[in-house]
Amino acid sequence: MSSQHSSGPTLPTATVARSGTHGRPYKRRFRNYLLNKSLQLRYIGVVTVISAVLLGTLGTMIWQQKNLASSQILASMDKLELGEVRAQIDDDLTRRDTNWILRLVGVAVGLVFVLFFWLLVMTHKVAGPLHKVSRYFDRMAQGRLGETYPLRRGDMLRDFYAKFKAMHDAVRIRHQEENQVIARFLTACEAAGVKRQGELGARLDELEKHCEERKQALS
Amino acid sequence: MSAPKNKGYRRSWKNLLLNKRYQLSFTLFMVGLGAVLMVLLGYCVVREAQEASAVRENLILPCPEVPEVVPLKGGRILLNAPGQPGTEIERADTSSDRSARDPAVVGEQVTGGPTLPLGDRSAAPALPDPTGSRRADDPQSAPDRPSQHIVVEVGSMKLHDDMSDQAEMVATLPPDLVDAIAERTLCHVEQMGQMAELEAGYQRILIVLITSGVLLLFGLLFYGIKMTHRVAGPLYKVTLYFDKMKRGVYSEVYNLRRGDQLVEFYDHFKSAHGGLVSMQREDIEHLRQILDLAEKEDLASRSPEIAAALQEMRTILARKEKSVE
Repeated sequence: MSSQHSSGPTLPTATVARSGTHGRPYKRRFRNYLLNKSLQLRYIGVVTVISAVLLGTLGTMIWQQKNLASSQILASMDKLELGEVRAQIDDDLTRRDTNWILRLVGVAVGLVFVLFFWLLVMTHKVAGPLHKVSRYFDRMAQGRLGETYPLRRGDMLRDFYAKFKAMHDAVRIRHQEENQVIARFLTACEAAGVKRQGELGARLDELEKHCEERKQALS
Repeated sequence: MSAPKNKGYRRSWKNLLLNKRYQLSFTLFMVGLGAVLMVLLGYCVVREAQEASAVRENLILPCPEVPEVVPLKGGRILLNAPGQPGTEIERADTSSDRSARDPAVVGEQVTGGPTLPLGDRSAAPALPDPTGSRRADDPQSAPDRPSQHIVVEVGSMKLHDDMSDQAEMVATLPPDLVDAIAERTLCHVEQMGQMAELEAGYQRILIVLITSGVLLLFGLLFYGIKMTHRVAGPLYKVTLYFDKMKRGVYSEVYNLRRGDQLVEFYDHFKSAHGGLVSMQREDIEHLRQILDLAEKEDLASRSPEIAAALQEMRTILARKEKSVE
């Protein structure tokens, strides 16, 4: 392929190096954290439910053991026939057990909240690159192959993004080189005095327009 | 462009980890969280179970006291009632060789009452054996040695020798001694049962916790990898298409497998792929038209630059036509 042809006009080539070093200053915003609901909420839901089930099951076991100890103490009080003291102890034990349950519920709710937000951030680091690539895909669908920018710090799926970028840049450079060949042809026709009239003239005008549009799409 | 159906790739165990970094980071987070929760709460469960056992142990009431029968040298027996000074009973038999002997012990059950072993236990209390077993292997109960029986009856106790009935002594005992001894024995058995039950309960909790913890962690590991595979799979598939597109090959795009995630993302990719294919077809159309016309008008003869450009355009056309086949 003669893409390195020295004659003819030079169209701008893809600035791959520049796009690889500078990123647009997109910042993470809280309202944008849920980018891919099905992906993010699925994982968050699974982890949260597992944690809640674990807390619930083991919390119930702990409560059962506490309740067992309390009931044993009360049963011994029954044997000793200590009416008033028993009632007081019963109240104390019930209060103690209830406090414990409330503490556990508080810890569980706190954990679920912390987990939710932590996992939201964690899954966002996957959903973010996917969202970014999806936007590039949309542009590609419209025939636009502009510059690509690197991922933000902390983003995951870097290998995937690197492959996407390599593909995008390769396609872009290929189209730019092809466009250069067409531009060279048009310049050569002009230099050779090929008149823009009749069917040939119409085709040359059409080709020139296509070349300009493609140039715009690749910039 | 109509989307072809799935090519029929099946999930395979060896391909489960497609994107190790992503899959392991998410899976290990899940497993780690599960492990931390299991260990922390499991420790709390075990501690509470121990506390419950300790409470129950402390609440076990002591068994009722019974008079203890202590054999003394010279054939005399000391009967110790709880909280009272011992009553010493003199043997009726005056035989010197017998009186010098230590009393051997063999329990004998009378009228359904418990056995009452007696040995040379001057220091040990004469509590009944909670198991109620006869100590046949006891050297003191060997058949070559003369043995004495304490026969407990309601209201009385007789001490006699197996060899002859000459030596006999009768002492008055509390009327409820047998019942008291029976009650104490049952109480001891019950206590031992309770302790065993406590220990078994504690062990059960421990086993349940460890087993469920290990199963949970392995389950989470498997589930996590499987779940993330449904994301990594489509990404892997897309990267294969990336490689082709990078080489300028725009082959058919197949659908995702059933159960895969990122369906929406994949639709975006298919649109992008379709867009590139459209660009190729558009270029092919323009190139074909101009090359046909250039041949018709013999443009190549106008200048070597035009000829070179036309040659390059033919190469590009051929490549583009091949890329969308």
